[in-house]
Amino acid sequence: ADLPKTHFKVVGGGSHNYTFGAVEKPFWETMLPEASGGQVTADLAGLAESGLKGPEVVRLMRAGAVDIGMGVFAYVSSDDAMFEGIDLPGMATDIDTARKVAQAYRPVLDRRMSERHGIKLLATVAYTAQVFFCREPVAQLADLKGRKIRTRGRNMADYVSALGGNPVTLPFAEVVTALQTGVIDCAVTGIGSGNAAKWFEVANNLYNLPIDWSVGFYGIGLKRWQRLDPSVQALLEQQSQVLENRLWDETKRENDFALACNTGEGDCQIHEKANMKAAAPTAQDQAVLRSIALNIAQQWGKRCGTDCVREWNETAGAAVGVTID
Amino acid sequence: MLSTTVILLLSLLALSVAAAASVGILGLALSELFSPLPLANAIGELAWGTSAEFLLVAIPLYVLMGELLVSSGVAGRMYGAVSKWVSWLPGGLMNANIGASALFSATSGSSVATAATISTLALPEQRKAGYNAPLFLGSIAAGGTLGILIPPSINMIVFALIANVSVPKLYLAATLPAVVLMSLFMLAIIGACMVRPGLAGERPVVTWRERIESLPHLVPPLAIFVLVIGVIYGGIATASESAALGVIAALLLAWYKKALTIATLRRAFESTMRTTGMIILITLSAFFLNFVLSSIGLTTMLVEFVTSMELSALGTMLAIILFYILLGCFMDTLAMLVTTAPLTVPIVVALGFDPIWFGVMLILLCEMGQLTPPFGMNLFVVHSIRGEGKFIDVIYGALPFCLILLLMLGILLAFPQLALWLPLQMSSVS
Amino acid sequence: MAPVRILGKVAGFGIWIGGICLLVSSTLIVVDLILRKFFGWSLGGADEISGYVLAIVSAWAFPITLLRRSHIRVDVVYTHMPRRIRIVLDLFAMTCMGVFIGVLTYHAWQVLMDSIAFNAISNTPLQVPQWIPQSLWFAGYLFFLVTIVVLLACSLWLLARRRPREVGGLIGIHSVEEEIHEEVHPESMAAVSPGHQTMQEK
Ligand code: NA
Ligand code: NA
Repeated sequence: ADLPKTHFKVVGGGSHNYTFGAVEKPFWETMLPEASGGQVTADLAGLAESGLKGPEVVRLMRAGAVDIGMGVFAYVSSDDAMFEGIDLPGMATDIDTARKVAQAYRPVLDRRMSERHGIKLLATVAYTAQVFFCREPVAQLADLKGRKIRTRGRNMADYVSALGGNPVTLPFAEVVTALQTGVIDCAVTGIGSGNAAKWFEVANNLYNLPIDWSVGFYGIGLKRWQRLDPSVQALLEQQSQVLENRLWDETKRENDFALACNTGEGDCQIHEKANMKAAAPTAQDQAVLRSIALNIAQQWGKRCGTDCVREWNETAGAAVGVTID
Repeated sequence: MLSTTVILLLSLLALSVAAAASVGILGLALSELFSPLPLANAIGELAWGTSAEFLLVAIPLYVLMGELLVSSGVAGRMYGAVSKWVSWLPGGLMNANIGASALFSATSGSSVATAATISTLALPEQRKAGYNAPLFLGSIAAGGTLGILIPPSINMIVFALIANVSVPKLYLAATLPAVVLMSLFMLAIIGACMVRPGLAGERPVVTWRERIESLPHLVPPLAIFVLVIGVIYGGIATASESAALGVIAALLLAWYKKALTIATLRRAFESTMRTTGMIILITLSAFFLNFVLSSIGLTTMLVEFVTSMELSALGTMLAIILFYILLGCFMDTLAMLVTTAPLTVPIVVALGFDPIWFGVMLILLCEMGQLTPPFGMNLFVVHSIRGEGKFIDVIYGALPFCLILLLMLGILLAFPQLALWLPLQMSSVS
Repeated sequence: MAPVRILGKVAGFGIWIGGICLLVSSTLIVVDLILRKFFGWSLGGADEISGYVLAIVSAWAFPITLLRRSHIRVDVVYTHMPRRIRIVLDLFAMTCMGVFIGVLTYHAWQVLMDSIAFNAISNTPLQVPQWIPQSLWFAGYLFFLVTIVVLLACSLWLLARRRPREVGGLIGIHSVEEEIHEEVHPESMAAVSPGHQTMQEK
């Protein structure tokens, strides 16, 4: 039997990101309609084009003003510290680990979002490694001391403070000028998205320390979800898994090429060749970073509560072999 | 959908509904008519998010800074000093009007404040020295429009937020066009007065000694400008932070000049609250409309429609300019900017123009709107401070300056580098 | 009229509080700037606090702008109309403002309720519970809505009392002459501003 005709208004991620054009757009505008025999259609708008900033997405989905929306957990976590557990800074040092953590923690968030926030979680999403783009060279971890570093979110700010940096908040549109003039020394963003935004023109030094992965999600308002025909629900659920896999796979590909593109050495696909100077934490630094990451996880655990910590330990913690008390 | 939107907006505005309410009601109506989703539910979050935006903090701070500066008497002494230096030129004091406006603009974010301040200082001189009234009035009205072109500028802050571009870049992009426009204004005055010397009144006789002695009066406004704008490019502060510095500096200056009384403060606060309420309400209703337009697909539709017409990029740009000139005749320019930029910026970017360049073009069009009847804010300002004579005199006087603004738009269209060169220099520095 | 005088009193108070808040947040930003530049450390959160200040101050500024009749209205048609039509337009314009602000206030309430229900805390090192700034912000909207309703009611009352001339002074378009006059001689505003009147009556 044919599916009932259904149309979704989708607010996706930033349209300047690589995966927006490579995955999100074809998925919503071609793949989903094809998979449904043309019965289920969607149109997709980028976050900024919708006049939104990010933190309000969860509330707008719950209120029904957005059908299906994409949010980054670190942005929407004002309403719930539990969200941050999926992507604690320093917890996942490579994208495969980040995916393992996200998969392990997903059932926890799935339940939490539907019980408390009126959202049905459809898919998780990640961006490339969130690393430092700096004006001056950073050879070792200690070089970050005293630098003014643009971050987003409390956890990342704590992490940067623990490294000895001064976290600064600044609207995204102001970052390039602030780096140019020296109002800030470094800014953290995706190693791929920073290239796409041509940050290498104003900050020629890359410190390849992945703080986190800007893990986010696609979701749909629960009320809207419950009104859908069960056949559409089944299709959407199954297709969301396809979307999730494609997003993670494509981001991994983007991430793997991004360093080569930024430094201009090696195989560069997807992004533009630049000639940034790159450095990464040494083995010695890694030990320091590990203890900072644990410390911040502990602080987060205190904010999140004992139930939250227990659930995190059983899922995400188990995936990386970390236990918070 | 498009015609409903346009007709509804124009009707509400024509029925004299406040611009902010017109835009808000339009958003609510479009949501009811064209969206399956209850888009009105977003208005609370958008209002909170927009009004707590750090970038917009600059707006009340610019207003407050300007108010404090006027009350400390800095502006009056500055006008006297400028006129000592430029009034030997053909056109006499009219050159001082332009020069003093430019200098005051460098400490004020708005055109109305600039025109009002210079009017009160200059108009008594006009009567004394027997200038041709229309041209003299026009020079004040036109000089006042520099208020939003020379940084700091409230209109540019609002545009930057809508178009998602950097404020310092926009400020830098406006700098050379501002210098050129100011020179064109003065050249036009000098040229007209050389051809017809009767236009100018008697030029004041000033000795070099008086000139030198007047120099200290130029220091406070220049110092404020260097502080507010300099710290942005010196890598010390962001645009909003620099506005805070300006407020504190103006406060200290007023205190130093012994002008800091309860009455001055109350006056400055009152004016700041009034202007802030006006600007923020219209800005947040425009953000709601923007969300609705994007959600019902009108923005995409419009962009696709314009690009499908396969007009040349230049043809479309000319059409957009014409649209703004007409709209500027009837609308307050900030309201015009806020309600239309969410629609025109995507079109312009899709055509391959630089949004920073377009921002400067839009500011020039706003300046023109302030000078064109029937609704030209600067015309009103000059006319009512004059308190005598015919309104048509001011309109006639502003006309040549409107033509110069047209010329300036043409120059910027032909040489976009005039705006884009300086921001580009900044990127190659580091 | 008594209700308008009371509104003016509250608004006049709001002017002082608003102005002082702006001065305080400017000071905070400047202190943070100086510490950051010369001492390499930051108070943190000056920008966040100024954002809240702007949201709250502007919400309380809306009614002040309205009482001064300074929300932008296009008067191309208006000025050419006889007084009766103008009054109709004024009432219509104020009703539209009321509808818009009614919706806005209702949803501002929802935002506040959401923040309380979810115990929302800003995702920054400051960790500000959002209900604190949001309730002050919401109160501003509520006062704005009350102002609109009172102005409308007073206008209707004046009409019923056959005093149409006074309606213009309450909700009519601020003529440009008045506006410029205020720009140049703000001290004379005492004569027209309800806020000032009450201050003098005290
Ligand atoms: Na200015
Ligand atoms: Na006009």
